[in-house]
Amino acid sequence: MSPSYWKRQVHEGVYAAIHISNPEPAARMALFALAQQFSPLVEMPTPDTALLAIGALRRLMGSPTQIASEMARRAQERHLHGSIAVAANPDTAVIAAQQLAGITVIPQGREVEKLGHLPVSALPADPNTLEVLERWGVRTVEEFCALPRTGIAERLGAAGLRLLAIARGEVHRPILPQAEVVNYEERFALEHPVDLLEPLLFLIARLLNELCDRLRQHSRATTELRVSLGLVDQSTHTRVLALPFATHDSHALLKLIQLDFEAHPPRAAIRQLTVAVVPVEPRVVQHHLYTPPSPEPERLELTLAKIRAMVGEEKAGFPELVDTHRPDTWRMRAAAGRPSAPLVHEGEREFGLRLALRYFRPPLAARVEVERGRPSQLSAAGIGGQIVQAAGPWRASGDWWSGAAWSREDWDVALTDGALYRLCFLRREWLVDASYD
Amino acid sequence: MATLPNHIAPLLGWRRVTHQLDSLPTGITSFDQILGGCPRGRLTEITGPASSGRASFLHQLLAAATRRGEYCAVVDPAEAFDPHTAAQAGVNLDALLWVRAGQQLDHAMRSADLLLHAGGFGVIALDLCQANAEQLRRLPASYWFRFQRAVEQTSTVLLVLAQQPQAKSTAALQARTSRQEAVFTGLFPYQLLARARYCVEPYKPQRATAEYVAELLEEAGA
Repeated sequence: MSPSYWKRQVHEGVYAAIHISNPEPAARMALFALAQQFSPLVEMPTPDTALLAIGALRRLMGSPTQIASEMARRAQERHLHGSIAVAANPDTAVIAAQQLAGITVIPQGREVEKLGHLPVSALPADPNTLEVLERWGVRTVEEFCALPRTGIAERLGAAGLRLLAIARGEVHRPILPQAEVVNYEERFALEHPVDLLEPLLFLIARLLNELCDRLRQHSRATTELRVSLGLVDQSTHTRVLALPFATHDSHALLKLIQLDFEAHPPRAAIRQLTVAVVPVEPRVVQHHLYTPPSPEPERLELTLAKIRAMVGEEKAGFPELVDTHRPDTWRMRAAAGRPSAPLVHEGEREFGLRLALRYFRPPLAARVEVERGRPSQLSAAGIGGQIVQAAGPWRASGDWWSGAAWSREDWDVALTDGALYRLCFLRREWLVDASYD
Repeated sequence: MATLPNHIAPLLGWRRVTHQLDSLPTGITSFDQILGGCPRGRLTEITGPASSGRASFLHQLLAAATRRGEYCAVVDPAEAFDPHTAAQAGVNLDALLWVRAGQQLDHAMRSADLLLHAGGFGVIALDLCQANAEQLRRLPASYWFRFQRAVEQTSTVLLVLAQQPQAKSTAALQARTSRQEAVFTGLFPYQLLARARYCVEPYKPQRATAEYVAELLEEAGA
């Protein structure tokens, strides 16, 4: 930060402190996020208190009272309970927020009047100093402020003078912004075990909303959602959803995890729940003017999840060829690749028509009569006739260097009715592998 | 219907289709010259016996769509689709979703329905060529009306392949395929299957005949 920033901040001199009564980790994260809605620079003097400069907000949001009211409203939205104080210097604001309930606005010069009745232990003093003050019979801040400066300097030294300046509201310092450590994991311990999906999803939705808010706030999205369930039998049921796209749409994530839990339910009731997301850069898509429409990634993933829940995990996906000569070999990818932009314009390049194969999976067992080394008659389920033309045998083998060695003999045959089939002679058995269609 | 007042037709369950969508060229020149391709936002049904060029037609259509950068889907209850020959025909497999419904026709129909409602696909093909005839008979006709409704507000080509017509009146384009000739070159034992000649005959919305030849592409070293 430039020196002029600090100068302006000290000059403007209005600070707000937000103190929460429930300093759980999730609440602390929410407190930090709330403070960041008002200022990018937030100091956390204690884990349950956030301090920020609000002088620059006057033009946007009005008087300090109005700003504090807005803070209270937004804290309410986040289910944060505590107190808010606005003062002309940071330490007064922090002390007031920590000690006084509700919203407190302390005008400059009236610090002692507002804080005077507080016990002297409300000041940020070390235990030895507090003990000395107690021995002197100083009970309240007002009594401490009434002590002569010289006497304090002689007996308590520089620390005592600084404490006196804090108590009188005379310390003007810039705030010390906290380096933010964002936690993208939420935990929830259940009082009673849950054994139904619906209440579990209700809880997951709550945590997911919180995490997605956090992602949005930090301009992040996620490609991985991890839900870990602590079960009553002391085991853990963990499901990880790897997404092919970055999103912070909590509804889509919830639906995906619902479908996943329907397919892979936990084996016992749940007593603890942890939801975590992996933050990544959000998706940035610049569409070409002439790019044809494509399925929305979130919607496609949801549709795929529904289809996979119905037909099976491995049965829906994007086929990918495998580098082998073994016929009918491919693998399925879960996510789509990036379809190429329309590079070939109409009529620019002629693609030849290719004969397509239609496989029988599994292959049909066949009875084949062989005459003079070539198949002459075919009989299989729903297929039969005299073979009028045959091309083959096409022998192929591979993977002999591994345990998965294969070897086969293929024939292309035409029957009297014109139908074309690919026959396979494998382990002394004839099979109808595919038809040309 | 044209003579009925506008407010009467919806009461009778009639729908007036006011917008005309373009067609997706299939890449089969003779077919495209007659019909311009398969109509978008409509159901196209191609029927024919085994080995009559239905799969070659499908691959050509998928290749044409994926070359334009469109996503396509094949719903395949018999799990008969061959990615290898599809790639040879020019299909970009990165943009091709393949749903294998494991002989469950009901799952296939519901998958097609989900994909239609997801939107954004250039072509959704439902391949019923090897479906069990008894299962096909038991299939509720309401599926086809549902598909017709779902696809008509999109730019998707819904292609149904089967042995016998299934979609009936809900299809905007119906054609049947037939095999004409299989060409083997060389003499035994050095014969090669070179190509097959097929015929596709649209009979709705108009009668016509288009022939196409599909060649077998053997990989070097295969």
